[in-house]
Amino acid sequence: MKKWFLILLALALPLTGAAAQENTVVALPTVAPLEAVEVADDTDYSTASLGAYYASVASDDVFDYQMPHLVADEAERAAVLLADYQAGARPQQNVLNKLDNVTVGVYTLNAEDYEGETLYTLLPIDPLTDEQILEVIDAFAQCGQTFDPDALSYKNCMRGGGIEASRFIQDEENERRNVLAGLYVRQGFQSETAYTPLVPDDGLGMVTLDEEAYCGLDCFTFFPCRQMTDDELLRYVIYTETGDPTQYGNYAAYEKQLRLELARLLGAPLSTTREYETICRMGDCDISYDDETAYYAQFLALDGTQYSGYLDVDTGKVLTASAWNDGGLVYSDLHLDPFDEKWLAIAADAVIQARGDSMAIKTVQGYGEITLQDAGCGALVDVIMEDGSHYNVEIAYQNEAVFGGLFYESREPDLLKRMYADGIFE
Amino acid sequence: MKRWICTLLAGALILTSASAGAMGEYTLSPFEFDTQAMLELAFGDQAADAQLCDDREYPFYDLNTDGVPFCGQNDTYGFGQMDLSIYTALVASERHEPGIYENIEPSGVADCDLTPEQAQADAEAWLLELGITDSYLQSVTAYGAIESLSSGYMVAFGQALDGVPVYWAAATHNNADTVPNYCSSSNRIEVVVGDSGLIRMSGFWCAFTPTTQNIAVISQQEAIAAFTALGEQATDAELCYLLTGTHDAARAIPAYRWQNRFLSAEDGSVLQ
Repeated sequence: MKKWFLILLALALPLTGAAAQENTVVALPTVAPLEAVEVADDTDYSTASLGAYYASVASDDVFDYQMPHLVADEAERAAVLLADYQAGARPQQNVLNKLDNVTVGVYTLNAEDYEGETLYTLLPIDPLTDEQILEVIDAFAQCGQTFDPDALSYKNCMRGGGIEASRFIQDEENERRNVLAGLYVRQGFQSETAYTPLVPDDGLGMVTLDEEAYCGLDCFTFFPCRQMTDDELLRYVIYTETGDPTQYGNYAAYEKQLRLELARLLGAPLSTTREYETICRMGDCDISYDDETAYYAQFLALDGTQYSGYLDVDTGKVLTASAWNDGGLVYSDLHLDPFDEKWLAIAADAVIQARGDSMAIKTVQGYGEITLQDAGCGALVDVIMEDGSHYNVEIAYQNEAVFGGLFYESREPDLLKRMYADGIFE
Repeated sequence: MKRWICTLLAGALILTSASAGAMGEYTLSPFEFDTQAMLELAFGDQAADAQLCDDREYPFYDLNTDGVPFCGQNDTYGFGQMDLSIYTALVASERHEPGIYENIEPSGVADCDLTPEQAQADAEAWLLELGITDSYLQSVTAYGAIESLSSGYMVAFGQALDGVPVYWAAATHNNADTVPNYCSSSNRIEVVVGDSGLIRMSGFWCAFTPTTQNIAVISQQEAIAAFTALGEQATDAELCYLLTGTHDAARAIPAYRWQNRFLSAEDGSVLQ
């Protein structure tokens, strides 16, 4: 016992010394000040970055109806309409917590999640009608508040599709969302509670918009001004996932088949990382196809090449696929003869090198000059295989090498033939 | 046949004189196309009816109708370039769609009476009418693979200076969002023509004014060695002019090219 006591006493002594030195800074004149160590962390769950965004475009009149405010004329009419409302005028429509096809909407918030704000207003790109202003005034009144146009700001208003959510979702949330999407789709993980589109219960919400009123934006999402929990993100994933739930159990098998096919058709390495996947109706993704049910996934290789493909889940065959890596070329002003025979040879060789089987090439055809993204021009070559499948190969003039990658089509592309069936663009 | 031989001989003569070292440095300015020729190509026998529009900063003509035919030459942007636009009435009445790759005939021969050789000859004649004497053929593309669209050809010409091609430096093609007045297009004219005649002619062209003449250039072998010293696996070096500088002070300097790299033809120093 005495031994332990002595040991504890000996350990306590340095601590006492440390405590005695606390808050004692001795500046040594010959020692240069240490640089402050900064931890890089730009994660920000507040609306501050929204404020910065709006400030950056505030001087451009083009964005006037996408700023979170009423323009001067509307504000003047709002004052008159407020008096009318107080005198008994009422709108025909109630827009408080309106969920679908919203042109004008006002939403209740829980203040603790929204920097003290209690109401959020959605306004269209077009000038507001008197009726719409009255709808806003009415919604505020239902919540015991008087609508004040001057109080609108990026913290409580979005107009005309200016921004798609009440704050910017953060990178770490996106990364967690991707992981959780995989757990939901692949493993059947479920949230503890169901997602609700209105905000007050949990701080999250989502409403669908009249796209014409919001410059093509089809929904608006409410994210609380704090880090979202995994469970909140999971319920958001479940609510927004557009795939076919009856297919979720098959994703692993589809992915395996697609990986094997990408290796066979494009030489994709097995060690790629899956970045995205979904099930779709092929005709919705590529109008040269029809009702095929397709599993789509994209994968990233260590060298930066992105592989993607659409797998027909009924036949196990790849419909289209691509390998893409921009190669970092700078602009080139070269215009050479796109029908030179050498482009055909380069394209055929690229396909032979990529293929993981021995399928023969039936023919190789030049399709003229093509503009390469940020890299000038090159030749477009179509390599047609024995089974009728095609590879589109873009070759940069500037280095006489394949630009970007290979684009595989299981059949002859007929998109434009369909579009121009009657000689006019349909 | 005789016409082809003459063209080849003329081309060979120009290239020979260029490789002999008759090069210089030049400033760039917009090339002024022959207005009367432009009007006749755009409007045909209605050229006299063409009206100069007063709502633009550059000469633009139409028949006071919406859409085609129209023509103009625009010198208000670009790096010392003139932007030529000639759109005939055929643009509206025929469906040539030269921008669609699936519409290209891989054989190089369009399903029409016009041959690629005749299309090229016609295009060259029209360029001469416009005052262009320094072009060289880049490519002839045949169209009409999509049955519902019209057949025809697009003949593309690049610009030569002292008999060698001109190329814009990559730095002049920076992103338009970040670099105002970037050089938007190559010195190249595209002529789209079918059985009915000229459909469209458009492109950018420069006039060159010498600032230094008779610059002695290094040999091709020296240029290849210089590229090799830079780590390039150069097997060739093309004598050319590199167009560079700024929007307000564009210039042409003699250069050797290997792929997308350029050396000064005067002293072998690296240009790009």
